[in-house]
Amino acid sequence: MKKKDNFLSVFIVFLILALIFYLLSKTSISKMPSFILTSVFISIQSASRNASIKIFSMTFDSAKEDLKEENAGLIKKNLELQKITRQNKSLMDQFETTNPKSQNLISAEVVGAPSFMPGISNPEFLIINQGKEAKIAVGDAVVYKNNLIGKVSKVSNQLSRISLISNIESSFTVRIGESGILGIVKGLSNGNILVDNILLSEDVKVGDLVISGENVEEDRSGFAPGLVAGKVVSVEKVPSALFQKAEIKPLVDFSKLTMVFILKN
Amino acid sequence: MNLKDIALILFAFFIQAVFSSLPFGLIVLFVLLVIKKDPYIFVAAFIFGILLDIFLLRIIGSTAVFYMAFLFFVNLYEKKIESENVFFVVVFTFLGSLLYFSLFNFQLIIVQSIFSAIFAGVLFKLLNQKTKKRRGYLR
Repeated sequence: MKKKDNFLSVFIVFLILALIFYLLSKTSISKMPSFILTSVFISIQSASRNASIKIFSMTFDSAKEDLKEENAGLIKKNLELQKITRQNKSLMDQFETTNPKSQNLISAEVVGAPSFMPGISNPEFLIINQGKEAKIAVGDAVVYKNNLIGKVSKVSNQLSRISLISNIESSFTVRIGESGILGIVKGLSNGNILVDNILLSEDVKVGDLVISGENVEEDRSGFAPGLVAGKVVSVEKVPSALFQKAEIKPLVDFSKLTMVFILKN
Repeated sequence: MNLKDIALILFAFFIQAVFSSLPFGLIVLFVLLVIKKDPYIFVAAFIFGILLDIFLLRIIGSTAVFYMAFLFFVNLYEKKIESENVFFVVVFTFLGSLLYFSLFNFQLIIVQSIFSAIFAGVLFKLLNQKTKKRRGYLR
């Protein structure tokens, strides 16, 4: 009986404490202790993640990784060539700058990337070691080279949470292939991405590159155009349906990212 | 709660904060509660939850409240059914994980809950064997 009372009293005391923390988290009072705790643990978090990635890359075939990297570089060059061709064809000089020129990149280290199977499956979100102090805001796009990774969904003073483009809540417009076919991205739970709302009359092929469309909001948040979202891996075209769908795969392995860049439009 | 338990909880915290979406913290705390029936597990759940909220940028206190409420609920069942068996651990971990994944917007919730339940079952078997051996030596 005494033990049961003990359980109840400890539970009630700490439940009240947790609820106080919950309410305080909406004010600025709790920011100081969380700031100190984050400062202490951030380096340990970062070091342990880097070490685990090294172990994984030692375990798996490194030559395959080199080829993947080379392939990503070639795809990037190919994309640039496609862009130039399209621009020449369109003869519209005023729209030449598909990527905003006043871009600012802020580098950030990935300190947390919880996934179902660490190192194998894609993470559900990323935690980076930059926050409000580095002028990062909710809605900022996150890239790696010219690949779109996701957008900032939450910010604290020293940390930020990134919702990946493969996230189930992700949705933005994209352009597919050389002809720039329009579609809307929706995240799938297996780490792949679905492009929906593609007109049935359009010709989408497996292997076509998918780049971000015009998604920048009035407050300058959102994805800048021309960033690589992935490559088409399958196309679902049903004549009776209103639209066709395409499944795309990102060119970057999100689980192995150690560094990302925040794009300030 | 001894030093080994604290080390196990800390290890689970780092795994959950850095690498995995599986609720290792909840599993470890739940298994320790079933085996040791120590009220200080609630204190550990509180600290663990607050730290996890800070690192995963959730509303501070939300994970702590969920962990403590779940552990208290499990504790209520202790007298009604035989809690110290693997089926109890597996079933409750599955339900707890399912609730955790749905509340905190995770993907593949059923598959992840099944894996959590299997892990909890294995951890329970391992820790329970050790505890039983220790009790046997004491006698």
